[in-house]
Amino acid sequence: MYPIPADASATVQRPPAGRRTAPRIQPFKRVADDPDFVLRTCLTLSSAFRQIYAGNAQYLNFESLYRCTYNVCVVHGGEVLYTQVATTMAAEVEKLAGSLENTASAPDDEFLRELLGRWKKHSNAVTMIRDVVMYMERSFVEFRHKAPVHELGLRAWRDGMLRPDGEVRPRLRATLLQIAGRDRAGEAVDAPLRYLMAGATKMLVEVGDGLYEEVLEAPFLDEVRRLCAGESVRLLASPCGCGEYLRTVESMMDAEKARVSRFLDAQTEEKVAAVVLAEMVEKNVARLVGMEGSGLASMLIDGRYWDLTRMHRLLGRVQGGVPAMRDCMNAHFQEIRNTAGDDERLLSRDKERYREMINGVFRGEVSFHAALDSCFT
Amino acid sequence: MQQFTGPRWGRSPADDGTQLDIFQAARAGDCAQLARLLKGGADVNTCDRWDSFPLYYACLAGHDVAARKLLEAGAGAIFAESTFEADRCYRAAPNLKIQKLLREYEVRPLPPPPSLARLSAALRSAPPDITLYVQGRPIEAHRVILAARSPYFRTKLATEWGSRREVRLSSSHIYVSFDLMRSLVDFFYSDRVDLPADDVEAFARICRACQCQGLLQRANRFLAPRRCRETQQLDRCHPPRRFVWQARCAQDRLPSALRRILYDCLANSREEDLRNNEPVETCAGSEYDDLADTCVKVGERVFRCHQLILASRSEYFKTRLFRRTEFLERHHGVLEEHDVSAEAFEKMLVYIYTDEIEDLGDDPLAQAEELLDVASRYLMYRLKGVVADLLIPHLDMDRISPAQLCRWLTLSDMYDVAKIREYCLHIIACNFEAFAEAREFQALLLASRTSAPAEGQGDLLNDLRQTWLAARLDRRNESAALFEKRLEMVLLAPRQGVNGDQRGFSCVPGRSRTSMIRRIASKLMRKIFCGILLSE
Repeated sequence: MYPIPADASATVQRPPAGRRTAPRIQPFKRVADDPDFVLRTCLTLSSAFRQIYAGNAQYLNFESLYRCTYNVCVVHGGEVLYTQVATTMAAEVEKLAGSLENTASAPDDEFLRELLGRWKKHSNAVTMIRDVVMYMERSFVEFRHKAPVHELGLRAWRDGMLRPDGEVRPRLRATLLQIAGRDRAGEAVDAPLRYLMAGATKMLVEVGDGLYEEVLEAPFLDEVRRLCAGESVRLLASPCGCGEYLRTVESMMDAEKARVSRFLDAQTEEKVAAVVLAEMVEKNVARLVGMEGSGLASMLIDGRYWDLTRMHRLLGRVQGGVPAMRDCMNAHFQEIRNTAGDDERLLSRDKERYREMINGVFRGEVSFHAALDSCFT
Repeated sequence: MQQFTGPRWGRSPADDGTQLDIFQAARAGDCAQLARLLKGGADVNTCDRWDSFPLYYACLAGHDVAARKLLEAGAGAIFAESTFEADRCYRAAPNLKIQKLLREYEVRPLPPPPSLARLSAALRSAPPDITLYVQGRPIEAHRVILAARSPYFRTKLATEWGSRREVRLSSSHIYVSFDLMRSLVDFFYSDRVDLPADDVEAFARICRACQCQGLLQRANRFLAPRRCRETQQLDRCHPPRRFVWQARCAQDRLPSALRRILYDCLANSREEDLRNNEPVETCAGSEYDDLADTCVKVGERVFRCHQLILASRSEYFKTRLFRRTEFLERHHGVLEEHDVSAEAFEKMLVYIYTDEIEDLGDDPLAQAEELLDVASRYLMYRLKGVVADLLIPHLDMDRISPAQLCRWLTLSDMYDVAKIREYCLHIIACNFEAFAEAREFQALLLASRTSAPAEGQGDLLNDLRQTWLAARLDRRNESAALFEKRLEMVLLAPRQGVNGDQRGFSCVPGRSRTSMIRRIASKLMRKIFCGILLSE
């Protein structure tokens, strides 16, 4: 009735259960075939999975593969099939990793391109396999609370390609640090390399299990920490005022955040900001606030509102920043009180001025108001 | 809540005790009695030999509490079905309080049945394949639903619009506003319409243009001035602000519309089978084009169906049709299914389209088994429950043998249908003696004892024990001991059959033990008596 392509019987293997003519006897017939049937069908399915990995999905018939899965699961062969799926995926990823070895000496973008190509092939194959064994997932995996097929794929990739003692991890780490260094130095990193790096980051985030943090994030944060410490020492040694120092801190923070958004995952942005602040500001809070000639007191006297806002913004994110500011302000208010003496008009004018300043510049910080009130009562 | 079957005209059995009482209770305003009767399952929407409903009597006698009780129990269905009865109740009401009560229940819509909610949710979630632009704004819909619910859309889709994905509805001959069209399309999916009273006239015009008869009748009924003076008065004081209607009658609902389309599809499929040599797109067997876009070949038959409906009801089809298109399909546009019989597939199609199955055909047990297999294979879990409900009346001790029942117990474990399993265990517990003889039962118990429970099904013996004890609640302790003893006897029997030389007295099962005792005793008695006779 319909033309059947010539190669159909060659590539597609039907399970031996056969067509159901009299539906009565079928289930017991399956049970009777038990040991051989399950193994045979699982082997058929694994060869189909290998074909999927090889990219020959268009020669496979989804319906017959799904039916194989169903027949296996109905006779409680789900366990066998599950292990088959896991081992086939692991074997295929080993093969992919092996073929990646020979690009070890290639330049960075070549290496990244190969890696990401294999990753795409693997994730496509995993989704196809997941759909073929959909029945097993719905009945066996959910029932026994085992890891779903997608999880198995990620695990296979992690253990096969991204081994701790393999070459991929250090290579990725080195590539990222190099790119970040070039970007920091002001060189333009060309767009393909940037996209490849972003793709590699996405891959690590998807594989999960703390891999992204370990391979990419931690070295990057260490590098930033080192740079910030060096910069902070240099700046503090040189004759630069508090305001200028804080301006440098803020610009570094913004630059690093932009770098992260270009090359790394968004979750690192907050962390890198915290690192910059911890290195450059938190360690030197007292020194900055009490700096002679440009610290908080002189800013208050000169009315350098932008600097004051910046100081409050940065120190507010750091432990012990706002209390230090409060102590300094306390001391400053005491001094003013002492110099003003009994002059009521002067006192009240100063009080009003500082109150407005606290409301406007420091966004109504409660502890500053308390300090002001306690000093000027 | 009573089943909303609508009013039953004609002579209802007046000698039925409960039905008389409900009328008397309504007349007397006896709320306690009414509550008792309604709990016992009396039908609120029957009429007595004077063709009057209990609600009418309650209104006539002025018992507003009783009337409210009846309305809460479902007497409000008469408002949906017949204005004559509704007007009669209004006319009978002696005061405004009861009239207001009636009005309150008249405008309150009944909740949609759960099967419909599921069906429409599944359909709504599928990606739309046609967008109607009304006044420049889009309404997304599916061709199948539009064609099923409105003959106008059906002809348009078949002829003019063809396979266009975007259609602009011009307001040249009828004024079509976006909101009203949207309400109409929502009605197509959920059988429910909810409009402000001012828009009903325009809505009725649209219904007439789209040839939706049921909805048009209802809208006209809403618009027509009421003849009853009481309702006219009520309308003047408290005009109904919204037109709310949930279609109840079968032909107005979505499943029956889909059923009509399904039958067209099946008719076309049969036509095609007969012809047997034409490609699927060009043949049209029934008078309507059923807009089918895919065919499923099962055995020798080809079923025409719609991708959208298949995909929204079964995850297997969704994967196969929409996600995994890179695999090989042997014939373009035709899906092949093996290991399924055509009858079972047809029943499954009926379920997919209308969310219910009518019956299990000539051979219910075999058909049910195959349907369970189909349901679990195509990941339609609710179908298993539906099949179980249809099957259980056939699993009767009179009609099937214990061997078959044991087999159904195994099947229920295999396909994970708890209802059938419980029912089988219940029957076994009640008729343990009949089952103790059956060899299959013994094999089942032995197998469940030796092997670990597969897939966490729960120990068969434990469940059987529980069911046994549940059936004999008053004598629990003796029942437990009795059960253990009987179980031992049943389990020992095959071992007795296996090695026949174990003729020790303790190993002999109870039944043959008593018969042996009887035989020995009778022999002894005979000998003694003969001896006595001889000695005398």
